[in-house]
Amino acid sequence: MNKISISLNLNGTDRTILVYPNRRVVDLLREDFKLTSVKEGCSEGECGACTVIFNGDAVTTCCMLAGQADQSTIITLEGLAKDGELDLLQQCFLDEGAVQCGYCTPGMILAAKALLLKNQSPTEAQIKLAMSGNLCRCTGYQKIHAAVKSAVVIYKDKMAQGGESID
Amino acid sequence: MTKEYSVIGKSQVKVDALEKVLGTTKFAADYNLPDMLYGGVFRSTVAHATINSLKLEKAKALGGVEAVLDFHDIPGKNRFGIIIKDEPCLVDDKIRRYGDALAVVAARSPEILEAALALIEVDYNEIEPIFTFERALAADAPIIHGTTNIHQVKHLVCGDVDAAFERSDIIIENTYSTHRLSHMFIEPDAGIAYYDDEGLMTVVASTQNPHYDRNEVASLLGLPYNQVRVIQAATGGGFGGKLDISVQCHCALLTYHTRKPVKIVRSRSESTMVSSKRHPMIIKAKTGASRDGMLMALEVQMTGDTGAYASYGPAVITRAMAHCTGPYNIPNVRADATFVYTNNPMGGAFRGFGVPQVAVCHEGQMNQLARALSIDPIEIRIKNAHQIGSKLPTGQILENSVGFIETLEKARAKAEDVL
Amino acid sequence: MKAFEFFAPKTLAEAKGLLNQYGESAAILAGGTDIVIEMNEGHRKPDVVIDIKKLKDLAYVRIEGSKIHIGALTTFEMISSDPVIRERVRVLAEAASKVGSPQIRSLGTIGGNLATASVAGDGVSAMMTLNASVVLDSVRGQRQMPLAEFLDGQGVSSRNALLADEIMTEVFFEMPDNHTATAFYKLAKRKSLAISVIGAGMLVQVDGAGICIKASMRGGCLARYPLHFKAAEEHLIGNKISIDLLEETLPMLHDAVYESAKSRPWSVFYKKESVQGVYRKLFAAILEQLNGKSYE
Repeated sequence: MNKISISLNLNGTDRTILVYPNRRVVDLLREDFKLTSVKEGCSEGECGACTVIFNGDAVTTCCMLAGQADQSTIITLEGLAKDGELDLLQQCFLDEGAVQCGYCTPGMILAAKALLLKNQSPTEAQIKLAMSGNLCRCTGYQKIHAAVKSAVVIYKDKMAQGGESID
Repeated sequence: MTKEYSVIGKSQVKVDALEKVLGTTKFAADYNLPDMLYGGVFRSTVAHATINSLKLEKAKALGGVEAVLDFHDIPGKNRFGIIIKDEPCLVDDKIRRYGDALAVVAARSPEILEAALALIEVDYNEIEPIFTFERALAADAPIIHGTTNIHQVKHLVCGDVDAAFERSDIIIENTYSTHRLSHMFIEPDAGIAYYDDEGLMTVVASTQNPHYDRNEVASLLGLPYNQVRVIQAATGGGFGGKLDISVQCHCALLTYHTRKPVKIVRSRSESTMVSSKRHPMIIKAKTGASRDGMLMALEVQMTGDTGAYASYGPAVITRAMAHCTGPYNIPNVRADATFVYTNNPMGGAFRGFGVPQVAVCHEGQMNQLARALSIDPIEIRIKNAHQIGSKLPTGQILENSVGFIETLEKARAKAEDVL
Repeated sequence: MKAFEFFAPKTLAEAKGLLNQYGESAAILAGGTDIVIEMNEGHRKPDVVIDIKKLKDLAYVRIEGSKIHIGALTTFEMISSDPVIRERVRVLAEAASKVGSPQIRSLGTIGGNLATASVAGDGVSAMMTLNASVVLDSVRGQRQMPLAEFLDGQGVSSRNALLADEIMTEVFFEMPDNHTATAFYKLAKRKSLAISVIGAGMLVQVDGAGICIKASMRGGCLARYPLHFKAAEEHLIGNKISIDLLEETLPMLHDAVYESAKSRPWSVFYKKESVQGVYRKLFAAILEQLNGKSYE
């Protein structure tokens, strides 16, 4: 088996790596790039724990081969906080008590982030739809939903006061 | 005047929440150590059998494999279990469920591990598997553990049940059955074992029960308790399903033999296959009441399937018995409970320890009683509800904090708002 | 996961060349949401994987004359958000918007869904309802065939007609006109992250007087390939569409599901009842669309 070269923009930095192709993107991120916020829950695209933002979309990395990451842009939870400052969504998850065991949290925050990158004033229904691919077995959905809603409201206020864009 | 507290009544940020939103929290599978080996388990594909032969040679000969172990390699005691020590770390006498662990492997990469596990060969001598309560008790059924398939029998008697039924105006009889459930904690079981700088056998695991795990690892390896340390990693949900031993003993045994760190991460299917389940129960209930809806007598016969191993079965049977009346005053109660071993997945702890199962029964009985007597279903519950001073069939007096009636009233008000 | 060689061709010609070279030992990766899971679990062990997702030319929704053409690598997300599909082809918009989860819809493609041809493939049910055709391509040349024929075919796998060197490039169908209503309903345990229990599609075309001139009813997860409710379709054609006429077909749906399920485990028998509930929802959607349209 020949190794393949994968070049991607990972959390804002261009990276190139040689790997065996029989790895999934979740393995590439966790094992090769040591980005262990990416969690494996079900290994079949049913739980959303391994969600990252791939070329702007939320995707489940357990159903992607490493080679699919070539020439892509990927954001993991490690890429959200900038210079020690939490992303608005991270802050809202903290403030709203949206974190319980924490295993679904990275995927939840990234699913919400992928939504907000495309639509900065989503409706409740749009938030629910965007979060519908992520399971929380602790069943803290209400608080998770409240955290995303709260981020939308705070963001709108900031924009009204002439703040910066969400990304 | 209400006292102002600094914490009570206020929203607090969880102590571990910051790391969790940053993604830096370490769960068991996130641990990696230098020289670490990848551990895996070779499991049975039949539910009930003795082993004619278990061939490990090919796996041992594969390059990159550092240990292939079976029960012969256990230096201490090959039995664990939270209440009754009836579950082997690696099968010695016989296989009792689909997925029983027969051998463990440590290899230098996950790929080598997978290849090594595929090289192990087993030859079974199958025994009739028992999957139902009835079959477990049949005279000609094979015995799963010891001399009987009866795991436990319990009785609870309070008052004069027969006389109370005779005085009852109405009797409601039903049979309820509940099914086996998997916890489906979102993080599959995982752990890593290693010798720390002081030579202490250390296991970091996804667990709800580190103190118990420590004792089991020590017993398995024949070590004194103070030579074993178990650290609970951040744990991605448990709900009772991570109270039993999962990977801890297998990791520790491989580390014991290789002297190297060994990590085991179960796949979702492996985790679901061998983790404990909610006990399925069949509950026959006979409830006697007066015309005005006052409960007079309850007779309950419950049977439960604890599966291949006891796990928390003894706790579940006890709790199910003690809670069979639900939150209602019933002066005369007779309850008989029987749990059996089968070759099904192991029944264990699961949020409520048997109480949710009997709740299906006592609430079903109350609804039917209300309907039969044309009494409002909430009214009949309030009439019979426990209050401060109520005496339970176990003899316990409820001395304080019995909020059932207030809860029902608030629930009714809320339901009226919504409906 | 078993070792394999990985190729990510940049052009269709390159992809066809690779397929011609490796044939049966190769597996095509489109979105990956089925095959990567199967490979990870050891159910599929190809020697060569050809990732075609980078063939951006095969991701499109195009109207040509009276037909809609959809590139095989168009994702469910692209399909369900396409304005023409949403407006004119509700059966497909609805089916695409209910596949898996947002994550799966961003990866999964219509071509992959049709080629995998799962019993529960919502794309398959919708496209069968539309009587779609597929285009297969190889170094030997292009061929096209109705989807029904494709699914009946015995190619490199028993799932469909694809030969070892072929790649699906497109699916196309007649664009529903102003006198045509279409609808899809997915019955599943949850709204998201759930495999269909029944994924049923319906298409009804009427003339100026409201008389049914074309009907198509296909129910996914009721047989190996979407169950064809022929008797129900025939009952509708030639008659004026009304709720009463539509509901007269319910016993026919029941009987068709019974026939299909009678040799299968008892646990699927409830579907002969639930199929009627599913079609009641579809009837309401069809009538709403027809009533909202002029027949002139």
